[in-house]
Amino acid sequence: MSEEINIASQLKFASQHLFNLIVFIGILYYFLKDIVVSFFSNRSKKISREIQEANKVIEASQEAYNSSSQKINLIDSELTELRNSIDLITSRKTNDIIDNANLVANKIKNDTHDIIQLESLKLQSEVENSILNKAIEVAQDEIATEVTNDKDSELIISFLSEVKQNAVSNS
Amino acid sequence: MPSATVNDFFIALTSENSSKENLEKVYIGLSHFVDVFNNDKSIRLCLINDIYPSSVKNDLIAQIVSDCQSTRKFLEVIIEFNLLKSFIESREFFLKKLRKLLGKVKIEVITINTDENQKLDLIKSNLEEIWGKNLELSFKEDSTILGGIILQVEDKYFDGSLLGKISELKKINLKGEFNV
Repeated sequence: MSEEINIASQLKFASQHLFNLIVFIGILYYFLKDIVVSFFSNRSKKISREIQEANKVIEASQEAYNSSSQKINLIDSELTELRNSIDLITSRKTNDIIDNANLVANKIKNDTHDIIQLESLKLQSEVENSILNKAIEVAQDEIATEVTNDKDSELIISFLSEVKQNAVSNS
Repeated sequence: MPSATVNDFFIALTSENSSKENLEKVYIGLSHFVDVFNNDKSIRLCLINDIYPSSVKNDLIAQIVSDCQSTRKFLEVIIEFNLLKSFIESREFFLKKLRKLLGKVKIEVITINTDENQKLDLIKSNLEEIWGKNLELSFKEDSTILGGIILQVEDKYFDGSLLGKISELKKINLKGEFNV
């Protein structure tokens, strides 16, 4: 029986406290309802605004990104074109240079060939001339030793008769 | 205004002395003057240079050409007319003209030896046969011609020397062809 009394007293105590709690909550709800609502409403609005701004920033960034991306693509294609054009020009120029170099090389080769031929001919004629000059010098020395007074007189008479004949035929 | 030339004075000189003896004297005088002029450097410089007065030049000429009055006069006149340079530049031409008037031929003979009188007489007689007796002969010795003779007859040159013949060989190459 005492146990039943304890439970009843406990239930009473609990219900009293529960009532007090409910009253307290009701009072709190009554007084704080608008504040809390407006607080959360403001917070919600603020967050929503921030989200909108963030969205705007994201959109602007997206646009800027798109624009930059387009520009980059354009620059990239231009660079590619330029690179191709440079490659083409370089290739053409290189070919031109190689052709010119080949032409010049051929010309130098031909010229060198001609020069070698001319120089060899020149050397040959120089050698021939020096041989002839030596032969003539030897002949001069031989003649100088062999010319006597009689031979000299013979030469003079023969030459003068030649001159005489020429003079007669001219007159 | 036209002025007188050396040739004008020369014509006057030759017409004034038209006889052969006088022309001979003029020729001897002028050729002596030319010889002295060619060989004596100081006289040459004095006569050519304008800084010397005419009187000095005339004195020099009187000393050089003392035998022939006409030649001296001629030279003095051309100095007076400032024509000595022109005469000297053409001296060989005027001497040649005089020789032509005299029927004289100037021959310079070059041989290896001028000591052999017999040879010189032989040359002289041969030259007289060709160009006549009236020759102005001069002999010059040159051993480098090796042999034979070289003649300078007025403007003509006759080379009968061995050196000349050898020089002709230089025109031929080793194959015996003439070099172009």
